[in-house]
Formats: sequence, structure tokens, C-alpha cells
Amino acid sequence: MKKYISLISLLCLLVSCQEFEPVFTEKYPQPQPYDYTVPQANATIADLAARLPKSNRIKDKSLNGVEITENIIIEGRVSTTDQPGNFYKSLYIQDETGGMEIKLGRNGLYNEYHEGQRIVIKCSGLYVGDYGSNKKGNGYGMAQLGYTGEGTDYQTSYMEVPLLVSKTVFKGDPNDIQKVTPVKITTADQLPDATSTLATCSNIGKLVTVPGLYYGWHDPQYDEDNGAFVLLYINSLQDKEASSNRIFITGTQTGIDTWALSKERMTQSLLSGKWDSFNVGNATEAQSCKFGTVGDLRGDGSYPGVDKAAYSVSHYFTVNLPGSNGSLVPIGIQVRTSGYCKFADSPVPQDVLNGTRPITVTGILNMYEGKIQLTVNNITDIEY
Amino acid sequence: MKRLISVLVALALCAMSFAQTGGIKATVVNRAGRAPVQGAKVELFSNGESIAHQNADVLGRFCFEGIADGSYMLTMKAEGFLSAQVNVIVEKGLMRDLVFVTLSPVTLAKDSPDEDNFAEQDFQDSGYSDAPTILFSNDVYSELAGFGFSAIRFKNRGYNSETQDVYLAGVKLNDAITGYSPFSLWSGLNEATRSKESTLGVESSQYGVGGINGVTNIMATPSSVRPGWRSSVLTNSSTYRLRLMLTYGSGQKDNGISYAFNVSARLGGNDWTKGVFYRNFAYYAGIEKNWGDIHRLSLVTLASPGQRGAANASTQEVYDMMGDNMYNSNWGYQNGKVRNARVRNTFEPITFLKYNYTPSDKLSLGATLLWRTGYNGYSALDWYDAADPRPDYYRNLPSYFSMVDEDYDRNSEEKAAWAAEMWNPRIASYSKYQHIDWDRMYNVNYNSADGRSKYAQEERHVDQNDLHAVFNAHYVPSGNFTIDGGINLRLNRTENYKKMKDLLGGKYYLNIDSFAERDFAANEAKVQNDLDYWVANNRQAEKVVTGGKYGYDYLSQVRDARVWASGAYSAGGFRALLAGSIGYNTFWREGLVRKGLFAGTWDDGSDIIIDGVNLTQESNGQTSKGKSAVSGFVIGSVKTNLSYTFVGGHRIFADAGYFVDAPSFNNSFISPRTRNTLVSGLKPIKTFSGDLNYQYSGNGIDARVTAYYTTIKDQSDVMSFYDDSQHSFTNFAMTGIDQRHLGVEIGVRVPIIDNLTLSGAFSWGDHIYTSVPKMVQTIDNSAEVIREDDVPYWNRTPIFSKVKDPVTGTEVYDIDADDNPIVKGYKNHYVPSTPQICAELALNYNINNWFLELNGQYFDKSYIDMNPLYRTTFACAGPDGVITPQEIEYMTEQEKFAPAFLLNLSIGKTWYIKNRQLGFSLNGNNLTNNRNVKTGGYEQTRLVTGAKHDVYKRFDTKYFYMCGINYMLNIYFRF
Repeated sequence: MKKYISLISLLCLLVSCQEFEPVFTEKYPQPQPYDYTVPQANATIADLAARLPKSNRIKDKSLNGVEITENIIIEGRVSTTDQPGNFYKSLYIQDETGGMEIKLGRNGLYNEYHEGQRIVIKCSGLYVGDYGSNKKGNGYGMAQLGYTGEGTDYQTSYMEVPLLVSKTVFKGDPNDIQKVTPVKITTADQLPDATSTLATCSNIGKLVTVPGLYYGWHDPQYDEDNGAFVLLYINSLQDKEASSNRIFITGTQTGIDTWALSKERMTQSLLSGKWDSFNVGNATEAQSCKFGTVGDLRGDGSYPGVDKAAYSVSHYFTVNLPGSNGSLVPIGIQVRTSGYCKFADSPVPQDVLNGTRPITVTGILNMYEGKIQLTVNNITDIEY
Repeated sequence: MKRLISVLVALALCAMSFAQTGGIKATVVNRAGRAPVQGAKVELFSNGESIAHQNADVLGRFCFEGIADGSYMLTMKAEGFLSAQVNVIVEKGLMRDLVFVTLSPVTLAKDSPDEDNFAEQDFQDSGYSDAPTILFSNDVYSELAGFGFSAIRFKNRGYNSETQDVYLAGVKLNDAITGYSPFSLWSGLNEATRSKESTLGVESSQYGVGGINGVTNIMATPSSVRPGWRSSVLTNSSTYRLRLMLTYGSGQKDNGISYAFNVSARLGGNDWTKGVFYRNFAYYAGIEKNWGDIHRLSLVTLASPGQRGAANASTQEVYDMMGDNMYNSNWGYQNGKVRNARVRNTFEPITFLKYNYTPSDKLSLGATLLWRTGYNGYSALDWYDAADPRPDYYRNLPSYFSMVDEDYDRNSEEKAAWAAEMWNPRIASYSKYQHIDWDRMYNVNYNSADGRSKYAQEERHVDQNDLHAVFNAHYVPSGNFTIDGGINLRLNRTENYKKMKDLLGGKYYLNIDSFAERDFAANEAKVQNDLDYWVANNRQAEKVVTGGKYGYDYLSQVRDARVWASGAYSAGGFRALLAGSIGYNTFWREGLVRKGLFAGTWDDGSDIIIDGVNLTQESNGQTSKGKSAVSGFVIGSVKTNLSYTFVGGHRIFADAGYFVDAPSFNNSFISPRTRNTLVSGLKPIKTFSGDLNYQYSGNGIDARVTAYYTTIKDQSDVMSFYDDSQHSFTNFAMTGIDQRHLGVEIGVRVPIIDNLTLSGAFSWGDHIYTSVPKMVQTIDNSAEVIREDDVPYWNRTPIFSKVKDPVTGTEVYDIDADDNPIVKGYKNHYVPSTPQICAELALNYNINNWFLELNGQYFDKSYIDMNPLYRTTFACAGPDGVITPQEIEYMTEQEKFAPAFLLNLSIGKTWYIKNRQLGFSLNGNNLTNNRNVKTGGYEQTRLVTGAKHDVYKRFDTKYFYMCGINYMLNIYFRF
């Protein structure tokens, strides 16, 4: 019997503490708050953006971004949040010299990168690339920081891999929050022109507030009046570049009166028949009606030929700002909003749509093909 | 085989010729441990008449002397063992020494940790573990297969767990909601539940008509617990570290009272799957009173409460990177301690009161009232609007960034290299990427605005209240005629809900539906899990704190009533039985909360209109709160068993049965967590099964050969998954699933020389799907039907004819005059997750209370559990809607696992010390340390759009593996 008891004791000893302790108590030690020490920055965001040569400021799928090979470390404060969903998988940081999109490629970033939190990035091994420049290279887009765009249609790709992100992007103390103050735009020279970069306009990529925006914009190049703009796809699983797969709902008679189109809202709009007269295809094909109209895709009334999904919408506005000579210059600004964001279906008030009421918008100042876009964090960033 | 048998028979007979003169003698031993069975009742028959009987002595020996030449039959009976019989011929006045006659315990042949002796595994997130392979019977095949094939999760005849009828104290306890066999309710109570009666296959039983996969009745009454004290300590390396067990059975006292208890604890982790642990306790207590063998009343309560950490399946890519096929993605370090996210937490006590009335040998009547209650929770991570915390989430793997197959359009070698580096198991600091990063989740919650948890641990509850009233009668009107019958009534009320288990450092979790929010972010009412709460509380969703219910809450209500009867007639060696049952099964769902998506109407029937939006209309005719339509099915069965026993130990028997069963609750509602909608086109399940058997028992040889054939028709299945083509979470209901099972079972045991026995078991099956089921796919958020179609490739993959292209010389698909590819044949799809070919050969040696067993096992024809989405026209056609032979072959083929060979060794010894027994058994399993044996797995339901937008590509399959070399040591002491 003694032997028996000692054998049991021995067996009990064999059982390691690691297996037993939390299991028995059902209590696991509460983890410590992270240590948020960050490396010292040695460059500005504008320094980093300057790494992107002019030869990259052009729409060309074969171009890759520029790899940062030196030990460049930048620092900035987070100016965006992906919580309402208008920013997705990436965030913007900014310092005195400008703002830049950091393509982290993860969901729910706001949980770990709070607005106003300090972020330090060791750029070595990452890539700076252009997004949104036009084919001719005379209308610039934005410099972005991400990973190599090799093998993709873009100059940079999302960083995505958690190990890559944690080796390059460092978070400052989440209790040290200094929310970015938006730059108030009051003169035309605060805004970029078609080929501005951070070297010439430090407001690019920053959070800005633009007051006095009136709905609608006359495009002098094509002599067109613009209201809302949305690009629908026949089948989003098919080639999105194919003309036959695209429907541009654009102009002043789109009937779109929300900031974006959720899937539900888009479906309702489509089924109402109000887009029936829009043609399928890019400009030329659409003009010749080569691929028919939206109405042709009606089918049994459920429009099986159109991909019912959430779609981003651009609303065109014009702001008249004093130029260098003091006279007012009309500048077109798009407010672009994602159909996946929580406020997608928020209405644009009728008196805004009819151009009688100006609005003030606070958002990230972006450039797309040389034109100015504002992307808001939340619906509250649009003031009437 | 025949030749082998005759050689062995001859050998055995040679061995016996060393016998002494004077009669028949032998030692009765336990087959499990070769321990003598003291007090076994041995009876000798001549021409069907009892001529002598003895009780085996303390060493299990018996000896009948002065027996005349002739043929005799010996029967052996002992409590806790299956009775056995042996035919013996006494010739020339010699003493026949049978050496050993073995009795099989009424349980597994060898000690095993538990009947459900597997590490719990998530299986397609069902939250249920597989059922054990159990075939208790006085039958060599069953002994070998029941224990030996369980490590690989062998399913008898390919049948699901639901087909095993499992009774406790005469009450069928298969789960009311799922039909699953209920062994886990008493796991750890091996001693108290040891006494069992079992039938095989289509055989009927005295407790009920039974189904196609045998009936097991666990006696569980105090008088059935073996008298005396029993204690054991067990350690093993494949499931848990330690089991302690203590049992006492009083046996019947002079005042007619017997009582018994059994307690046990199972604790710790194992050597193979990290994160898996047991913290399980079990108790059994019962008291019984016997009034003159006429009235018997017993009251018993038992439960197996505790927690168990579960293991998970991963893709081969993950296993290869970790260098470990037993990698488990369910756990991670929390402040340096291993913590499992998926823990089953149960306490489901069963209490029964059983009364038996036996006024005479000819009649006995019984009534049992049984109640199962308590809780059954299964934890999981929950998160809101934050990165997926599962380490092996597909976007964290190299394959997400780079694939050799160009169709996947994944060619970021650099990122793949980063991901591969992240999965380097030799770098300790990367553990947070390879396992759940609890510290990160806590830190996210620490810094979350207002203390709102973004990550939490939920516990999904399935809390049953299961009440049974069972009445049965046994009547013997004449010596060769027996009638059994009974009435079974069942009322089941099960509450299904989620409970907040741990807020992981946050203060509350918001009770909203994050899936609904994806589609209806702009409509706050529609994303509410509990709309009534939101309306009543100033449009604030509930802030759930620890212990709070959230997510969903509904009742599954099941009622089942049936009557059954069977009559058996026997004359000479002939026995015939006819049995039948009829009943009614009805079930419904009762939603306890109103979900914003399917709000239905207010309780007074008026439309729900919030901010001008009519949620009643938006509910699409569905409702979440209140009672669903009631589904009802007439159920029934008929069965016949015929057998004939020849002189000399030969027996042939045949069984056949036809069964009509109701579909189970869990396969009848499209999305029970969100709404009351029943699957349309539900039909009763129709099963036919028949078997033909030959059995031989004599001269130390036991053998059985069985052929069986079964068809199961009109089964249904429901599942929910994210459909990439719809960018939505969807429900997929499949009806009209038919199966056919056929096969052969052979079991043989022959003595070779003294103390050495050779046993073999072989099972060959061909279990296939035979129908093209119907499917209906709906969007979970809206109940919108998106596809309603056949699943044409569910049961088979076409084989297309190929020819050489005369121009290019390459192989191309042959086409007919209409340009359609030519199908030259089909590859069947098989019932998954069990080997359909199994073989075992075992050598048993025993001497002086030592036993040694060496066995080799071979398993083959095991298949992956198929995902029906991949067998639809839609998935094969790809985004372009054009279906090609390549796509069909690629998408629909069912993976077959590689065959496996296993070698096992057991050794044991019992010492007898003054009426006490001390013994041990040590099993070494999988001695060749084969770590590449897949025991199961499932296909993921995701689709990747091919680079050229013409095909869909599959996600990688997830697998479960068997562990490598492992041991189990059991030391027992009986006093």
C-alpha cells in the first residue's frame, strides 16, 4: 500500500505545473500593458516622399515602387481611422512636412493605431510608390508607403504580414494622444496643382478643412458638368478594367443623393430603373453604346447583369479661393466616400445638391490624376 | 484463410493431447488482463441438459471429473463479463485440459482511459466531438475492432454516431437535438457503467427495437456495480496525464439494499497536442432496494462535470511549417501561460428512478423516470471589428501570398518569405504569431475607447432539460416464446445561447451583430441582436458583461413518443424474432430574443416600424422571436432476426430491418441562431439494413463472418459559411442525401500453442453516397434565396474521356458530335472520416497472470469529409459560368487518405494478495511512431477567383492527425 501511495505521488509530480496551474484556478495572469518604446526618427515624411522619382509619377502597371535601402526612420501622428470604414486597410500619418498613406493591409487598424497616436516607421526594406497619377504623367497621384508592388498592378502593395508590420511600424504610447489639427484652407495656394508633391505643397496627405464648398463642378477640359460619379461593374469577379464590364453613372442627373451607396441602397437605386439610360463601357464605347444600356440588363426586373454591391461615390464640389493675385479661383474638389462605410447611405441634403448651400469638409487631402479629393473619416467631418 | 484455420485447429488439438485423464478442466480468465475470474459459474451441458455446475476457485480454476466420452457444452458466467460457451469432446476417458477459457469483460477488451478517449476536436466548428468506436459484445471481431480501431476513429460499418442506440438504465439517451450517442455524459465513470448489454448491427434488444448499429444498454444500477472497492491510477501520453478513480459496490446486503459509488478525476494535458487539457471530475452514486426479487427500486445520480481544452484542425501547410502534424491553433501564451480558447465546460447531471416488478419468472415490468439537466458550454473567441485572432487564418500563411499554381494569382514571393519566417518554430519570439496572441488582444481591449472589448471569449451553450418516462414489459408465455415491449416518452427543452465568458481586460462587449453590420451598417435597428432591449433602452445596445447572455437565445423543443414490441420464438437451435415500433416525433424552435434582421412583428402582431423603415417587411417573411412552425413526423421500424445454432458450435443468423426516423433538429433549421425558418422539403429518413452471419465457437476457436447491406435515404444537412462570390455569410441546406453501406466483417481467434492465441479482425466496406441531393442557399442576413439547385457532383466525379490532339500531341478531352465532353465513367464519393478497410492481427501470450499482446493494424480507404459547395454546378463553372471537364475534375474529386500501419504492444500482470488484487497494464501504441496518419478532416468552403476570372480555386483542406508513439499505464488495486 505504501508503495502504491508513493507511486501516486510520483505520478502527481510528473504532471507539470504549466499544465495544471491555470487549469485548476481557471485564472490566467492578466497580461501587462505593452511597452511602447519607439526608435528615434531621422527623416521627415517629405524626405521619404522625395524618394519617389518623377519617372514613377505615371500610370503604368509595370512600374514598381522604390525600395528604401537606407536606414530612414520617419515619425508622425495618425490622422485617420478605419472605424467608420471610409478608410480601409491603411492609415495616414502626418508630420509638419506632409502626410502619407501607410499601407498596413490589416483590418480594424483603429484598435491598435489610434487617431493622434505617435507612429514611427523604419522604412528600410519598404517601398515608396505612386498611386493615382495619370497615364500622361501630367496629373499626379499620391506617394504611398507599403511593400513591393512586384507582381501586382500597383507600385506598392499592402504590408499585410504581421511580422513585417511589427518589424517596421512602431506604436507610441496609446495614452499620449495628440489629435492632428486640420489645416484650414483659405487660399488657393494651400492646395496642390496637378503636379504638386510634398516638396511643393506640404498639405498633401494631411488632414485639412475646406469651407465654402458648393455642389457641382464644371470640368473645363471636357466642358462637362459633374455632380456625382460612380463606377459600377457588370461582374466584379471579371476583369474590372474591361470596358464591357464597366458602367459609369456620372453627370448631374445620377439621382444619387447619399454620400455613397451601400449594397442595399445601390440595389434599390438600380431596381428603381433610374440608371436605365446610362450606357455600358468606357467613354468611347459608352458613347457609341457598343455594349448597350443598363436598361438592357434589367432581365426579370432584378438586373441579374449588374453586380449588386456597395460602391464608392464621388461628389463634385467647387470652392472659390483667393489666388496669388487675390482674385477668386474656382477649384474642383471631389468628396469621395466608400460604399462600405457605416455612413454610406447618409443623405446629401437637397439644398446642398441643388447648389444653394455650401458645406465645410474636413478630410485627408488626396490627389488623383492631378485632381483634388477629400476623404473624410466620419460623417461628422461634413458640416452644413 | 481456410487452410490457416485448419492448421491452427490442428495445432490446438495437438496441444490438448497433453491432457490428463478424467474429464474437463480449465482456468477461467479475463480476456482483458488474463486475470483469473474468481467465482465464475461454470455449467456443463449434455444434449441441452445441465448435468453439472461449479464455481471457479480463487485462481479461476475448475475441474469436472468422472465425465463419460461424448460431446458437451460448457457455459461460463460471471458478473461483469459476457457469458461464453465452449463445445468440448471428451474421448477415450481422457481429462481434457482446455488450459484457459476466456471471458470478455462487458466493456473494452483492454483498459482504455475512457470510452470517448479522444482529445476533443473542433469539427467544422460543430462543437461536438466524435463518438467512440464501441462495439461491446461477446464477439471476437467486436472485441478487436471496438478497442483496436478506435485510435483511428473507426466508425462501425461507416455509420454515424447517431446510429448507435445508447441506453442508460433502459432509457435511450441519444441526444434529442443531434442524435449523437451520449457517452460523454458519463465519461470517467468506467466502473459504474461497466455492466452493459449489447447487440450488434441490426440485432434487436430487450430494451428496444434498436436501429442498424447495435443497442448498448448500460445497466447503471447499484446492484450492477461489481462488489468491493476498486481503485486505479492511470497515466497516458495521448489524452491526459492522470486519472484517479475509486469505486465501491456494496453488493446486495441481507436487507435487500445495495449501494454504490464511483468517483474519478482526469487531469492534465498530454505529450502530443499542446493546449489540450482535462480538468474533469465524475461522480456516480446510487442506492437500490430489492424486496424479495419481486420489487426493485433504484435511485441513481451521476455526472461528469469539468473542462476540456479542444484541439483544432489546420492545413498541411501549417503543419509542415511547424514540423508537427499535431499542431493545435486553439491555444497561445497569456503572460507566459498556455491558454486554450476553446474549452468545453459541462455539468450535465443525470438522475433516474427505476422500478422493476418481477412477480414471476414469466413476467417483469419496469418503469423508469430519467432527467438530464445542467449546462454544456463550449468557448470560442469572439471579436468585433478587429483583426482575426486565429494564428492560422489564411491571410497569415505563405500560400496567401505565393502559390505555384498560377491560377491563384498569388505571386508575392517576398511576402511569402516574410510569412514563412513568421512560422519558423525555432524562433521563440515568433510564438505570438504561431499561436493565439492573448497579450495583444488584452492590450487592444486596454486601449479601447470606453473599455469596450474588441476581443472576448464567448461560451456557446446548449443547455438541455431532457425528461424521459419509459415503461417496459418482458413476458414469457411459454418456454420458447418471449415478448418484450414498452412505451418511451421524451420531452426535451434545450436552451441555446451565448454567454460572455471573459472580456479579456475590457469592461463590456456590445450586443450587436457584426455580420449584419457589414450589409446594414446604416440601419442601427437591423444590427441589433436584441431589438426589444434596444427599443426599451433608449436605442442603446446592451453592454454585455461577464456571465451575460448575448448573441442569440432560443429553445429547441423536441417531443418524442413511441411504443414498441418484439416477440421471439425459439425451438431447438432455431430462434426467430419480430419487432416493431411506431411513434411520433415533433420539434420546433422558440426564439427568446428579437433580432433586428428578422424582427417579425411585435408581440401583438403589429408591424415593427422604426424611423420609417418597416422591419416587418424587411424580415422577408422570417421571424426570430417566438415559436416556429411545428414539424412532426410519424416514425417507426420493423425488424426481424433469425438464427439457427447447429450442433458443434456453428451458428448462422440473419437480421433485417426497415426504419423511418425524423430528421434531427440540428439538420432541420436553416439558421437556428437567427430565425425560425425550417428547411423546406424535409422528409423522414428511411433506412434499410440487412446482414447475414456465420459464427463458430468451439475448440478454443471463435470466429464470425458477416456480410451486411444498408441504404439510408433522405437525410438532410445544414451548414453556414462565408460565400466569396456573394461577399456574404450564407446558409446552405441540403436535402435528399442517400447513402449505401455494404461490407464484410471477419473475426477469428485461434489458440496456437499453450498460452498463445492468435486473433484477427478484418473489415472491408464500401460506403458511398448514392444520390444527387438538392440544395438551397440563402443569405444569412436577409434570408434571400440565392441558389436553389441540385448538387450534381455530390455522389461522384465524372471521368472524362481523353484523346491525343493530332496536331499538338497533347492529351485533350474528347468531345462528342455536340461538342460535349465524353464521360466514360464515374468515381464514387465515399462516406468520410473512417477507414473502410481495417485489419488487425494480434498475438496474445499469457502465463502466471502475466499477459502480453502484440498487434499490428492496417487501415485504408479513408476519405475526406466533403464540402457540398465544391460539388455544385456553380463552383465548377467558375465566375465565367462556363463549366469545363478540368474544373469538374479539380473541384469535385474527393481526397483519399494514405493507408496506415500501426504496431501496438500491451503488457500486464495481476498479483493476488489475500483476496486483494494489485495489477497493472501498460499499452504502448503506435510503436513505429507513425505521425502521418490522417484520422479525418474537412474541406473549407471558401473559393478563390482564378487569375483569369474563369475558374474558382479551392482553399486548402484541414486535417486531423493521429498522435505518434504513446503509452498508457494503468495501476489498479481491488480490495
